[in-house]
Amino acid sequence: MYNIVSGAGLSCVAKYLDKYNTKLNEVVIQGGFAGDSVVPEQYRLAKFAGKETCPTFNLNADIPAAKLVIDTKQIHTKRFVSKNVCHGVIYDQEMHERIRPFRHNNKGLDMLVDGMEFYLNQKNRGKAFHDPLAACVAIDPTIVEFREVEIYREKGEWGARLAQSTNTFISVALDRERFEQILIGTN
Amino acid sequence: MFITIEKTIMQETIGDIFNFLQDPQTDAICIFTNGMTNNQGLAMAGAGQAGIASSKWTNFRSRLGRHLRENGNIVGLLGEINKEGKLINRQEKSNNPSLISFPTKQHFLNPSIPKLIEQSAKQLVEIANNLRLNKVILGRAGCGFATGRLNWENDVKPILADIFNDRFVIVNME
Repeated sequence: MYNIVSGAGLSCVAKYLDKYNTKLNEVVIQGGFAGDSVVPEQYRLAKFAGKETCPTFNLNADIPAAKLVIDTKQIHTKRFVSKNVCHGVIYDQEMHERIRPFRHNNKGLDMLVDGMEFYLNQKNRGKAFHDPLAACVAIDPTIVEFREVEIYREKGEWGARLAQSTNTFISVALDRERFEQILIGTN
Repeated sequence: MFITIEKTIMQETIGDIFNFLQDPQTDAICIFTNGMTNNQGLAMAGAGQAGIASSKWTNFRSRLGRHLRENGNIVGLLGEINKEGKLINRQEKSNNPSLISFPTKQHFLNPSIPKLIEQSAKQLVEIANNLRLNKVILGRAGCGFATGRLNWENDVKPILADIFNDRFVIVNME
């Protein structure tokens, strides 16, 4: 059984499940939102204070596909690397200085550093780093603290409720140091 | 007069070990683990069942890490899962299922080690005897596609079949 990382709408994942009628071990999805009833107070971002639901781009990109992926039993474990955590991860000049010395660890990282150098020269406020975070979670889920939940949609927005035995997890906090270790390729 | 004592054989079934937490007959479930901790003392438990356990129970890695530091890479009783689904200390006379760590490898990046699985299985039998556990759930030890990388029929089943009886249920996902 395979794992999938999704950094976009869930159309392709839904099509894959439908076309091959297969099972997947784990899908890491960049998207979703966990509000105050799920996220412990010390981890909440000020911008989301008091919220339980929020529109999220990737889940809203193809709502029927998102619902199918959320409801299916064909995926054993679903991990949502959600907005409430992703919005705290900005690749800025400071992070660039920490990552740059390791650029020759692998070709991908070298390209990333090149790209971010170019980007930060244009926009020095930094870049939200959602998808690389999801990819790193797929490598080591313990860089993020999760809660077991059920995902729901309400009035065009997405939320999460604490639940048991769903094997659906949503992110509530990030181990920033460990994330950067995974990103640069040190175990 | 001769009395024949027939050793019962371990059971095998299809399913997900975590679903057995809802089965009132389940006395314990085992999570396959390695022997590594990070510089915060937390167990390195990101992949396979251990990765799911780390997400289900936020204290799983700290409990396993403490067990590894205090006892080494051996089978450990990490606690029990209460009705609210929390991992807590094991209570006397409790009917809640226990959570047991079962080492299959030393370093998380390396394949599982048959000799360590054999040692862990023997330790698990000892714990099951001491705690009078009648239904102990575990997966196919060391046979994760990208983690343990051992072959169930050739490498692992012959070892466990010699050690486990029908109190032990091997659960394999389809």
